[in-house]
Amino acid sequence: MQNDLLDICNRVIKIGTGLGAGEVEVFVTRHSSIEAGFENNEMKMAKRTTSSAAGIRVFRNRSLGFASVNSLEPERLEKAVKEAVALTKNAPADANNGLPEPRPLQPLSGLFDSRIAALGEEEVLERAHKMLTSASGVDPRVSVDGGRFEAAHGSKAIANSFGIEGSEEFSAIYSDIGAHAIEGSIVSSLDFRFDGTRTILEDNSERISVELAEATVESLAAKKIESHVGSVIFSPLAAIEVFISPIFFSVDANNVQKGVSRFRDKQGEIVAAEMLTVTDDGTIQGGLSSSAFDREGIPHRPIKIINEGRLGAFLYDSYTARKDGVESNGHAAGSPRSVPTIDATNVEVAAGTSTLDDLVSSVRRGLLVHRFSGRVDPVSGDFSGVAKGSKSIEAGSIRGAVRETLISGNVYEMLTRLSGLSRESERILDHRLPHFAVDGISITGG
Amino acid sequence: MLDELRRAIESLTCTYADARYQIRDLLSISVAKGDLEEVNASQTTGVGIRVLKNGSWGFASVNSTDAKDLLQMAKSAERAAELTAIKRKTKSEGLAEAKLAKGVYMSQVKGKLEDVTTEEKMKTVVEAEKLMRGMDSRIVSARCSYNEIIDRKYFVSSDGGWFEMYDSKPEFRTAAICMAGGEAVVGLEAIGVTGGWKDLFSKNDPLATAKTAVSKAIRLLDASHLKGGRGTVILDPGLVGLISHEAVGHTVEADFVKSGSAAKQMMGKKVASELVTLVDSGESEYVSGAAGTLPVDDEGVISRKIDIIKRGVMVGYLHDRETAKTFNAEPTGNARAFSYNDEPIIRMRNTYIEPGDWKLDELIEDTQHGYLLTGAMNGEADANAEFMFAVQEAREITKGSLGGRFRGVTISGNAFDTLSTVDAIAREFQWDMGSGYCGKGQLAKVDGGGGHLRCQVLLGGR
Repeated sequence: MQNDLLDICNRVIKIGTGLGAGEVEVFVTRHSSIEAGFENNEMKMAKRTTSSAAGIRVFRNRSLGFASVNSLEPERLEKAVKEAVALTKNAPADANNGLPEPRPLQPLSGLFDSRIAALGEEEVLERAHKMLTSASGVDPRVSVDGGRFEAAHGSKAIANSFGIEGSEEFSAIYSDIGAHAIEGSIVSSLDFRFDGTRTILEDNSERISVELAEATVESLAAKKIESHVGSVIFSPLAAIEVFISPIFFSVDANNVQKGVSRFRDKQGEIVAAEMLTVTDDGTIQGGLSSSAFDREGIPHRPIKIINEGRLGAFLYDSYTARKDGVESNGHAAGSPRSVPTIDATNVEVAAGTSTLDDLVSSVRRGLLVHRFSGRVDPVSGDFSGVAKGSKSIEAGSIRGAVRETLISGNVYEMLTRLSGLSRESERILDHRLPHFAVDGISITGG
Repeated sequence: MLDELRRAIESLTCTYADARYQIRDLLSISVAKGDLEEVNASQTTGVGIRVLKNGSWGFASVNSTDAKDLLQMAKSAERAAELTAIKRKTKSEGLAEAKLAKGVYMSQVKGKLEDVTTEEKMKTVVEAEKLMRGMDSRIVSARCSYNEIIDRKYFVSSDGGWFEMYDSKPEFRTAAICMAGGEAVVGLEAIGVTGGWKDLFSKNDPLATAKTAVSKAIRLLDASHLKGGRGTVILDPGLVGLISHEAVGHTVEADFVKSGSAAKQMMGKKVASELVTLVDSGESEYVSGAAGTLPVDDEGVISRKIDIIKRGVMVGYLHDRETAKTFNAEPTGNARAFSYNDEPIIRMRNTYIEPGDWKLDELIEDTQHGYLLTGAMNGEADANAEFMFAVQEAREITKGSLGGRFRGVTISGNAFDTLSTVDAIAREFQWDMGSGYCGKGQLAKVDGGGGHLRCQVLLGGR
C-alpha cells in the first residue's frame, strides 16, 4: 500500500520535471476514520470518512509553486502539478529556495496499531457511549455538551526529485469531551478534556470523562475572589498554553530570521530558570508526533530547546537551515494541503524535584490554574486571560473553585523566575510536562 | 450532478437523507519580511451523505463522485444510523417542516475572483508587505496574506429540497511588528467579505490596509499596560460583533440550549438593556458583503433573519431542522457544514446588534471616565455566557476627552450582565469580523458588527 503511494509520488515527479520544474516534491496521504459523537447527553451520530490528499511543491529557477488536491486520481494529480508549475511563473525567486538532499531514514516502531485499524463502527460507538455514561454517572448535575471517540489509520509517502523516498503507516485514537454542571439557576463553566494515543492499550477516554465530570461539579461552587498579586501554579495544560507555545514560537527558525523571536540573539544564553529543560524529539517510540521523516522527508533529530535554563537549538526546515548555513534538524511540518511550515514534534519538559503538594504548601496566597483562556502574544510575551477551572490557594492549602478571575504578565520574564516544577508529569497529546509555579503574578478578581 | 446525488440516496430505506457535493478552490498567498512563504492553489471535492433512520443519524463521506462509491457511502451512512440508534435512549423526533430551496443561488460579486490573475493577487500581497517594512525604521518585520475560498455546492434531500450554489469569500490580512526597548508590538488589520476582488477592497485598498496596521503598531509602542478592574468602556463594532457572536450567539444555538446553556431559562425574559436588539442573519443588512452571508443552509433551508434579543428581551434561538422540531419552532437556516466531509451543525452567520442613535463623538464626550476599546483580537466564551476577549488598543477617556493609550488589555464578564449595562449605541454600523473563522469542531465563515456601544466590563491588564 505504501509502495503504491511512492509509485504515485514518483509518477507525479516525472510529470513535474517534464514540465520544466527543476525540483519537485510530492507528499501523499491516504486516511480512513470512524468516529462516534455524542451531544446533549445523548449519542448523536456515527461517521465514516475516507480521504486522500496530495501536496505538490515545485521550484523552477528558485521560484516556488505549490498545489494540492484531495484525490490520488491521475488526471487530478496531473492538473495539480501543472498548476504548481504555472504558479512559479509569478513567484519571486529566492536563492534559499530548494528541496533537501536525501538522508538515511530509520523506520520507527509503535506508530501503527492494527487493533485500531480493525475497530468497526460498533466498537467505536461502544467506546463513545462509555465516555458519555462514565461522565453522566459521576453526578446527576453533570450535563455533557458533546464529545467524540475517533479511530483513524492511514499511510503516507513522500518523494522528491533528488531521490528522497519515505513511507509509513500510522494509526491513532482521539477522544474529547465537553461538559458543564447545573444546579438550579447556577450553570458552571464549560470545561473540556481531550486525549490522543497511538495504541489502543493507552485509551484514556473513560478516565478523562470521569475527571471532567468531577471538575465541573466542583466548579459549581466557584466564587469570586479579590484582586491581588500572588503565586500561580499552572497545570500541565495551562503551562502548554502560557509557556510552551511562546517558547516554541521563539525557537522556530523562521520567526528568528523574521526578527520576531525574543530568542533571536540569545543562543547559548540563559533565558529561563536553571530548573527548566525542554526537549523536542520526533523519534520517541509511539509518540503522537513521531515519524521516521518530517514533511520534507528528512529524519527528525532530537534536540534540546532549553538546557538547564540555557537556550539550545532552533527548529529548522531546509529553507531556514540553508539561510543560516546549517543542516535542517527535521522540523518541517504540516499536511499535504499546504506548503511545509516549521513545528515542534513531541515535547518534553523535565520534571522538577518538589511534589505538587509541596508546591501548593509553599504558596501564601494564589491560584492553581487548570486551563488558561486568553491571549498570549508570543512576540512580546504579554499574556492576559481567564484562569478557567481554577482554585484559590491560601496559606498553603487549596480552597474553593474561583470564577471570573483574570491573570496577566509576561511569559519571557516569568520563565527566568520560575519558583518550581512539580515532580509529577502529565502526558497531553504529544507533550509531557509537570506543573509550573511562579510567584508575583497579577490576579484580578471579578 | 444533482441526479447522481438523488440516485445515491433514493435506494435507502430511512426517515430522511441528504447528499451534498462540494467543489472548493482555495488560493493562499503569504509573504513575510520579503519572503514568499506560501503560494498554494488547492482543490477539494467530495460528497457527504447524511441519513436519519430509527431516530438516529449516520454520516459518511468520500472524495469521489463515482456512482458506485456514492451508493456505498449512502449504505455506510444508513448502517451508521442504525448502529447509533441501538445506543440511544431517546430517539430523534424528526425534522421540522421548512421552506426548502429549489433553485440556483449565485453570490453577487464585483470583480469575480476567477477573473483576477494570480499574478495580480501576488503583486498586491508583495507590495503591501514591502510598504509596511519601509514605513518606519521601528518595523522589524511584516506579514501580509491573501486567501480566497470559492465554493460550488450541489444539494439534494429526500423530501424534495435541492440547490446549486456559488459562493466566494476572499480575505486580506496585514501585520506590522515593531520592536523598541526589547518589547515587541504587533499591529493587525484585516478584512474578509462575501464577494469579489472589488468588494474586498471597496472600503480600503490593500496599501491603505497595510498602512493602518503600521500606524496601529507604532501607536501601540508607547502605550502602557492597564491596571485591571471594573470600568466603563466603549466597544468598537468588531468587539460588539465578537460579544454578539461569541458570548451571546453560541448560548442561543439550540444544540447548546438543549444541553443547558445560559440561554435555556431566558426565553421571553429581559436579558439585556432595552437598547439591545441582537440579530443573526444570512443576509448582509446595513452594509453589503458581510463574510457570513448565506442564502441557503446545508439542509436546504432558505436563510431567515432571526431576532435573538429584541429590545432587551430574548425572543429567538438558532435552529437546524431537528432542533426546530424539538422546540416547536421554524427552522432558521443555521445548519452549516464547512467541508464536504463535515455534517451540518448549528452555526451563526452574520451576528450583530442593531445600531442606535448616538454619534461616536457624542458617546466619548458623554463619558466621565472609561476606555475606548478598538481592535478585537481572539476571544472565548462559555456556555454560561462568561467571555474573555483580547483587545488591541484601549484609550482612556477622562471627562469626555480621549487620553493615554494602553495595550495588552482583555475584557471579561457575563454577556447578559454586560449587555444589561448598555446605555448608548452609536448609529454608524460596521461589519468587522469577516477575516476570521468560528470554530465548533469544524470551521465556518461568519461576520459580526454593530455600532460603537457603551457598557461596563471587567478589564484585565498587567
